[in-house]
Amino acid sequence: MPILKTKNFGPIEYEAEDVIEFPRGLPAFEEEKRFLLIEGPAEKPVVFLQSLQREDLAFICLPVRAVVPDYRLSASPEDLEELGWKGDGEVEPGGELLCLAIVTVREGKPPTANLMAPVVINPGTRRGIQAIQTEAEYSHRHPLALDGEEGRCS
Amino acid sequence: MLVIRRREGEAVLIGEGIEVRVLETAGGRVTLGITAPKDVVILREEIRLAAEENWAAARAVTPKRLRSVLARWRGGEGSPSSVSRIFRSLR
Repeated sequence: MPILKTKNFGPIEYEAEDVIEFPRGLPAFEEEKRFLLIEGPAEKPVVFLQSLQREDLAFICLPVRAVVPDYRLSASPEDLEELGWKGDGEVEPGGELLCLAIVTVREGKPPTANLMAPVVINPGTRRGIQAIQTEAEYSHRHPLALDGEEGRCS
Repeated sequence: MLVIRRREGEAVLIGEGIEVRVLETAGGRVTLGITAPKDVVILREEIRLAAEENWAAARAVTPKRLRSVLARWRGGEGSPSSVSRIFRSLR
Protein backbone atom coordinates (compact mmCIF):
# COMPACT_ATOMS: atom_id res chain seq x y z
CA MET A 1 0.00 0.00 0.00
CA PRO A 2 1.53 3.36 -0.96
CA ILE A 3 2.39 5.79 1.78
CA LEU A 4 2.15 9.54 1.34
CA LYS A 5 4.42 11.73 3.41
CA THR A 6 2.61 14.84 4.57
CA LYS A 7 3.90 17.88 6.39
CA ASN A 8 0.93 18.29 8.70
CA PHE A 9 -0.33 14.78 9.28
CA GLY A 10 2.77 12.63 9.04
CA PRO A 11 2.85 9.54 6.80
CA ILE A 12 -0.55 8.41 5.52
CA GLU A 13 -1.21 5.00 4.08
CA TYR A 14 -3.68 5.02 1.21
CA GLU A 15 -4.98 2.90 -1.63
CA ALA A 16 -5.19 3.83 -5.29
CA GLU A 17 -8.98 4.06 -5.07
CA ASP A 18 -8.77 6.69 -2.31
CA VAL A 19 -7.30 9.20 -4.74
CA ILE A 20 -9.63 11.95 -5.90
CA GLU A 21 -8.87 13.46 -9.28
CA PHE A 22 -9.38 17.16 -9.87
CA PRO A 23 -9.07 17.35 -13.67
CA ARG A 24 -8.80 21.16 -13.59
CA GLY A 25 -6.91 21.42 -10.31
CA LEU A 26 -8.08 24.21 -8.01
CA PRO A 27 -7.92 27.95 -8.82
CA ALA A 28 -4.35 29.09 -7.98
CA PHE A 29 -3.33 25.41 -7.77
CA GLU A 30 -4.13 24.26 -11.30
CA GLU A 31 -1.24 21.79 -11.34
CA GLU A 32 -2.49 19.91 -8.29
CA LYS A 33 -4.82 17.32 -9.73
CA ARG A 34 -4.72 14.49 -7.18
CA PHE A 35 -5.83 14.74 -3.56
CA LEU A 36 -6.69 12.59 -0.58
CA LEU A 37 -9.50 13.37 1.85
CA ILE A 38 -8.37 12.85 5.41
CA GLU A 39 -10.48 12.84 8.52
CA GLY A 40 -9.41 12.43 12.10
CA PRO A 41 -11.90 11.01 14.58
CA ALA A 42 -11.20 13.86 17.00
CA GLU A 43 -11.63 16.56 14.38
CA LYS A 44 -15.12 15.79 13.07
CA PRO A 45 -16.70 17.36 11.08
CA VAL A 46 -13.46 18.95 9.88
CA VAL A 47 -11.77 17.11 7.01
CA PHE A 48 -8.52 17.82 5.23
CA LEU A 49 -7.87 17.88 1.51
CA GLN A 50 -4.25 16.81 1.10
CA SER A 51 -2.37 17.11 -2.18
CA LEU A 52 -0.68 13.93 -3.39
CA GLN A 53 1.88 15.95 -5.29
CA ARG A 54 2.92 18.49 -2.67
CA GLU A 55 3.39 17.17 0.84
CA ASP A 56 3.07 20.68 2.31
CA LEU A 57 -0.24 21.49 0.59
CA ALA A 58 -3.44 20.77 2.48
CA PHE A 59 -6.74 22.53 2.98
CA ILE A 60 -8.97 22.55 6.04
CA CYS A 61 -12.56 21.82 4.98
CA LEU A 62 -16.02 21.64 6.49
CA PRO A 63 -19.14 20.14 4.93
CA VAL A 64 -21.10 23.16 3.65
CA ARG A 65 -24.19 22.10 5.58
CA ALA A 66 -22.21 22.08 8.82
CA VAL A 67 -21.64 25.79 8.12
CA VAL A 68 -25.02 26.72 6.60
CA PRO A 69 -27.65 24.01 7.19
CA ASP A 70 -29.79 25.05 4.20
CA TYR A 71 -26.92 25.50 1.75
CA ARG A 72 -28.00 25.08 -1.89
CA LEU A 73 -25.44 23.96 -4.40
CA SER A 74 -25.81 24.83 -8.05
CA ALA A 75 -23.54 23.21 -10.58
CA SER A 76 -23.25 24.02 -14.28
CA PRO A 77 -23.61 21.32 -16.95
CA GLU A 78 -19.83 21.59 -17.48
CA ASP A 79 -19.24 21.04 -13.75
CA LEU A 80 -21.48 17.97 -13.73
CA GLU A 81 -19.80 16.54 -16.79
CA GLU A 82 -16.41 17.05 -15.15
CA LEU A 83 -17.68 15.12 -12.13
CA GLY A 84 -19.13 12.35 -14.27
CA TRP A 85 -22.52 13.10 -12.71
CA LYS A 86 -25.67 12.01 -14.49
CA GLY A 87 -28.26 13.95 -12.49
CA ASP A 88 -29.29 17.59 -12.85
CA GLY A 89 -27.72 20.75 -11.46
CA GLU A 90 -29.87 21.01 -8.35
CA VAL A 91 -28.02 18.63 -6.12
CA GLU A 92 -28.26 18.06 -2.42
CA PRO A 93 -24.96 18.73 -0.65
CA GLY A 94 -24.31 15.86 1.70
CA GLY A 95 -26.41 13.61 -0.48
CA GLU A 96 -24.64 11.70 -3.19
CA LEU A 97 -22.22 14.48 -3.94
CA LEU A 98 -19.85 15.60 -1.21
CA CYS A 99 -19.73 19.36 -0.86
CA LEU A 100 -16.99 20.96 1.25
CA ALA A 101 -16.14 24.56 2.10
CA ILE A 102 -12.44 25.41 2.38
CA VAL A 103 -11.64 27.16 5.65
CA THR A 104 -9.18 30.05 5.89
CA VAL A 105 -7.54 31.07 9.14
CA ARG A 106 -5.96 34.49 9.30
CA GLU A 107 -3.79 35.61 12.16
CA GLY A 108 -5.87 37.36 14.81
CA LYS A 109 -9.17 36.95 12.93
CA PRO A 110 -12.02 34.47 13.16
CA PRO A 111 -11.79 31.63 10.61
CA THR A 112 -13.91 31.92 7.49
CA ALA A 113 -15.37 29.35 5.12
CA ASN A 114 -15.44 29.75 1.35
CA LEU A 115 -19.09 29.11 0.49
CA MET A 116 -18.76 30.83 -2.89
CA ALA A 117 -16.41 28.17 -4.22
CA PRO A 118 -17.18 24.81 -2.60
CA VAL A 119 -15.16 21.72 -3.40
CA VAL A 120 -17.59 19.20 -4.88
CA ILE A 121 -16.66 15.53 -5.06
CA ASN A 122 -18.50 12.68 -6.75
CA PRO A 123 -17.61 9.60 -4.66
CA GLY A 124 -18.82 7.36 -7.48
CA THR A 125 -16.27 8.57 -10.00
CA ARG A 126 -13.75 9.96 -7.46
CA ARG A 127 -13.63 13.19 -9.35
CA GLY A 128 -13.68 16.62 -7.84
CA ILE A 129 -14.01 20.24 -8.87
CA GLN A 130 -14.20 23.60 -7.18
CA ALA A 131 -17.63 24.78 -8.29
CA ILE A 132 -17.85 28.57 -8.32
CA GLN A 133 -21.35 29.64 -7.27
CA THR A 134 -22.26 32.53 -9.53
CA GLU A 135 -26.01 32.54 -8.98
CA ALA A 136 -26.39 32.40 -5.20
CA GLU A 137 -24.90 35.10 -3.03
CA TYR A 138 -22.62 32.99 -0.89
CA SER A 139 -19.55 34.69 0.53
CA HIS A 140 -16.01 33.51 -0.09
CA ARG A 141 -15.30 34.63 3.48
CA HIS A 142 -18.27 33.42 5.49
CA PRO A 143 -17.39 33.88 9.19
CA LEU A 144 -17.56 30.67 11.18
CA ALA A 145 -19.67 30.82 14.29
CA LEU A 146 -17.36 30.53 17.24
CA ASP A 147 -17.96 28.76 20.49
CA GLY A 148 -20.42 30.73 22.58
CA GLU A 149 -21.76 32.79 19.72
CA GLU A 150 -25.18 32.56 18.18
CA GLY A 151 -25.69 30.59 15.05
CA ARG A 152 -23.61 27.64 16.06
CA CYS A 153 -24.84 24.15 15.47
CA SER A 154 -24.87 21.80 18.39
CA MET B 1 -12.15 54.25 -13.21
CA LEU B 2 -13.95 55.12 -16.41
CA VAL B 3 -17.71 55.05 -15.90
CA ILE B 4 -19.99 54.76 -18.93
CA ARG B 5 -23.78 54.47 -18.96
CA ARG B 6 -25.28 52.11 -21.52
CA ARG B 7 -28.81 50.99 -22.34
CA GLU B 8 -29.88 47.53 -23.39
CA GLY B 9 -28.53 46.80 -26.85
CA GLU B 10 -25.72 49.35 -26.58
CA ALA B 11 -22.05 48.42 -26.41
CA VAL B 12 -18.58 49.69 -25.55
CA LEU B 13 -15.45 48.92 -27.55
CA ILE B 14 -12.14 48.18 -25.82
CA GLY B 15 -8.90 48.32 -27.79
CA GLU B 16 -8.71 46.29 -30.97
CA GLY B 17 -11.48 43.77 -31.38
CA ILE B 18 -13.13 43.69 -27.95
CA GLU B 19 -16.81 44.54 -27.74
CA VAL B 20 -18.94 44.40 -24.62
CA ARG B 21 -22.66 44.68 -25.32
CA VAL B 22 -25.48 45.00 -22.78
CA LEU B 23 -27.96 42.35 -23.87
CA GLU B 24 -30.46 42.55 -21.05
CA THR B 25 -31.04 44.18 -17.69
CA ALA B 26 -33.55 42.66 -15.31
CA GLY B 27 -33.95 42.34 -11.57
CA GLY B 28 -30.69 44.08 -10.71
CA ARG B 29 -28.71 41.87 -13.08
CA VAL B 30 -27.08 42.62 -16.38
CA THR B 31 -26.51 40.14 -19.18
CA LEU B 32 -23.40 41.02 -21.18
CA GLY B 33 -22.35 39.75 -24.57
CA ILE B 34 -18.60 39.86 -25.06
CA THR B 35 -16.81 39.54 -28.38
CA ALA B 36 -13.03 39.26 -28.16
CA PRO B 37 -10.06 37.65 -29.92
CA LYS B 38 -9.47 34.01 -28.97
CA ASP B 39 -6.31 34.78 -26.98
CA VAL B 40 -8.12 37.15 -24.59
CA VAL B 41 -8.97 35.42 -21.32
CA ILE B 42 -12.41 36.32 -19.96
CA LEU B 43 -13.26 35.23 -16.43
CA ARG B 44 -15.89 35.96 -13.87
CA GLU B 45 -14.33 37.86 -10.97
CA GLU B 46 -15.30 35.00 -8.65
CA ILE B 47 -12.54 32.86 -10.17
CA ARG B 48 -9.96 35.38 -9.02
CA LEU B 49 -11.54 35.59 -5.58
CA ALA B 50 -11.47 31.80 -5.35
CA ALA B 51 -7.81 31.70 -6.37
CA GLU B 52 -6.86 34.35 -3.80
CA GLU B 53 -8.84 32.60 -1.10
CA ASN B 54 -7.26 29.24 -1.95
CA TRP B 55 -3.83 30.83 -1.55
CA ALA B 56 -4.78 32.24 1.82
CA ALA B 57 -6.33 28.94 2.93
CA ALA B 58 -3.27 26.92 1.91
CA ARG B 59 -1.03 29.22 3.93
CA ALA B 60 -3.33 28.79 6.90
CA VAL B 61 -2.57 25.12 7.36
CA THR B 62 0.06 25.12 10.07
CA PRO B 63 -0.20 22.93 13.16
CA LYS B 64 -0.81 25.98 15.36
CA ARG B 65 -3.65 27.28 13.20
CA LEU B 66 -5.12 23.83 12.80
CA ARG B 67 -5.36 23.62 16.55
CA SER B 68 -7.01 27.03 16.71
CA VAL B 69 -9.68 26.03 14.19
CA LEU B 70 -10.33 22.71 15.82
CA ALA B 71 -10.54 24.25 19.25
CA ARG B 72 -12.94 26.96 18.12
CA TRP B 73 -15.17 25.12 15.72
CA ARG B 74 -18.20 23.61 17.35
CA GLY B 75 -20.04 22.31 14.33
CA GLY B 76 -22.66 19.62 14.22
CA GLU B 77 -22.50 16.15 12.77
CA GLY B 78 -21.98 17.41 9.26
CA SER B 79 -19.87 14.58 7.97
CA PRO B 80 -22.22 12.45 5.88
CA SER B 81 -21.75 8.78 6.64
CA SER B 82 -22.62 7.73 3.10
CA VAL B 83 -19.32 9.10 1.87
CA SER B 84 -17.12 8.33 4.87
CA ARG B 85 -15.62 5.41 2.98
CA ILE B 86 -13.73 7.83 0.79
CA PHE B 87 -11.81 9.28 3.70
CA ARG B 88 -8.48 8.08 4.86
CA SER B 89 -8.51 8.12 8.61
CA LEU B 90 -5.79 9.49 10.79
CA ARG B 91 -4.68 7.25 13.56
